[in-house]
Amino acid sequence: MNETRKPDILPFGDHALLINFSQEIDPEINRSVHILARELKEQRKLGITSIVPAYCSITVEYDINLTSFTELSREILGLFDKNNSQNSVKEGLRWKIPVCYDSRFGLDLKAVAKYTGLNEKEIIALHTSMDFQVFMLGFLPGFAYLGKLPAKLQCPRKENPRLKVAKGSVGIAGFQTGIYTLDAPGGWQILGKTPVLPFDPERKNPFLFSPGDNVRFHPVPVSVFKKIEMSVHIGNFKTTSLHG
Amino acid sequence: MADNIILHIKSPGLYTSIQDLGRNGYQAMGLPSGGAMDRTSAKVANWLLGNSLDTPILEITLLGPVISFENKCQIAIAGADLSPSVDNVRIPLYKTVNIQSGSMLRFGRAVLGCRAYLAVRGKWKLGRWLGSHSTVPFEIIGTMAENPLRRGSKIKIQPGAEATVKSWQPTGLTEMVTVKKIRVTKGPEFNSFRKKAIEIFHDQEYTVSQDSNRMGYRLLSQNKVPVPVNEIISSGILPGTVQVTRSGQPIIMMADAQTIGGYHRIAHVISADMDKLAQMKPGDSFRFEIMGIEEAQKATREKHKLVNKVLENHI
Repeated sequence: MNETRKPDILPFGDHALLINFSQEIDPEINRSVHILARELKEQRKLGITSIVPAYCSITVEYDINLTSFTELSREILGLFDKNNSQNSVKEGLRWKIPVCYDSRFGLDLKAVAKYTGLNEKEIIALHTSMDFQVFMLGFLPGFAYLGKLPAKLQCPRKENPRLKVAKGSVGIAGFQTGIYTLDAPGGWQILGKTPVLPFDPERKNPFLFSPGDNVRFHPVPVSVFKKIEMSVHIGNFKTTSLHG
Repeated sequence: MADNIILHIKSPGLYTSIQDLGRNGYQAMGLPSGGAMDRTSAKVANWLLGNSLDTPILEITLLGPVISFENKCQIAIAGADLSPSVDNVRIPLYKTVNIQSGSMLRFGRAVLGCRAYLAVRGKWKLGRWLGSHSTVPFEIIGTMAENPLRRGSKIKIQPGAEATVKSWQPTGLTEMVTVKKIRVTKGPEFNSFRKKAIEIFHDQEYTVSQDSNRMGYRLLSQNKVPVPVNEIISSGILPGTVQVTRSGQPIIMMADAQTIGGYHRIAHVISADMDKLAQMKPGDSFRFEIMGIEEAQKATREKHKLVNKVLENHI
């Protein structure tokens, strides 16, 4: 693991603090974010009540009756130093997510082809060519911001966002890709759709992805999409089958 | 055992929802913590009935619902004064009220504040999701079908032992309307704003816009707050975070706000003033007062002490 610069710690309201790493969107820095966030989660004695990692920062809420800004900051920096020297990286899970890139789902394949100069086959090949890191979750419950996309595949958001993007749609925007976890308005360019649910309120653990996990997409034909969709629908689908 | 109390929602009012003290621990997954906007009033309403403080309550916004009660029960209302009446007789706030079977609860003019909290004595027979009864600001079919409440919704409550009639003299409520001030600490990006921008932010009056809800309050003001030219990388936001949009309009994040934001965080409302903010309605005006973290924590501790002094007599 590369040595990461010591983060800055700022007060964030009267019961939270913000751990700011070098302010750039970089997979290496983001990995350091998740390593520290996981470490903090395991520390039960620090008085922490909530931890929200983002690209290059962590928001930490604490109980002012159990700790103080100064005390907690010192402990966090101590943990960071220990991590940086020990190299004891706990990796997140790796997920293999089936995506159907058929034109009935990939509503913006043509637009993306036009913008990038790639043909549809090349777009799919690039989108399934590498592992993407879960930088953070937000926007919708369980919505993972994944990246970074290969430079050749990057393109801007749609000029006119859709009022409703269907749940399961897989989109790209800028250097990122992601799966809409609910029907929602959105401006990402839609390449395809997955039959699995990254967020399912009825599931014991409603959230498939955690910050710091890795996601690899793989293409499936409509027939396989339908089979998995049915199995999800009747409650037969095991999310553990997606570990890869 | 006595029959269940059933609340029939004859009309839901503007926005009436089931809340409790929120759903903590899933913010990293993109789920806001939610829960009652004015936590103190929600707790006090339950306290008045001898319910445990995390029992669900109805959060009632400005225009109240019409509710009929099947079977007798005890209720208490805290927070905003939305002119509640039972069978056309005004009932007091902050007091245990006995309700006869078949009675009808209505609300009238919003006299003071924005959100009233209705507690009912007993055990609410509702499904929880991830440990809470609170709404989520997303369309999640199934789990939250009847929350917020709709016309025809029914809530079942298993009656508890009759509670002694209690009352409480609220201390903060009148102060809420007379002192038009919301105290904040400096936000993480405070120092990226120019001196002039901070002066504008601090010196002017803000009005809560119509476009304000449980997710956030948009503020209207005479002058826009000049935003730093640099963009920030999306990062965590919390209830109380004051962000300034690209157009220079401050917005305050509330209970159902998203967990990640991309605007400069100029300030943060102190914990002690969140209940007060929850009671502000569109059209209400206030100013910000900037204070240090330690001062803010002191104010929070004092408030907790004041509230806990009452709630500690909990039976």
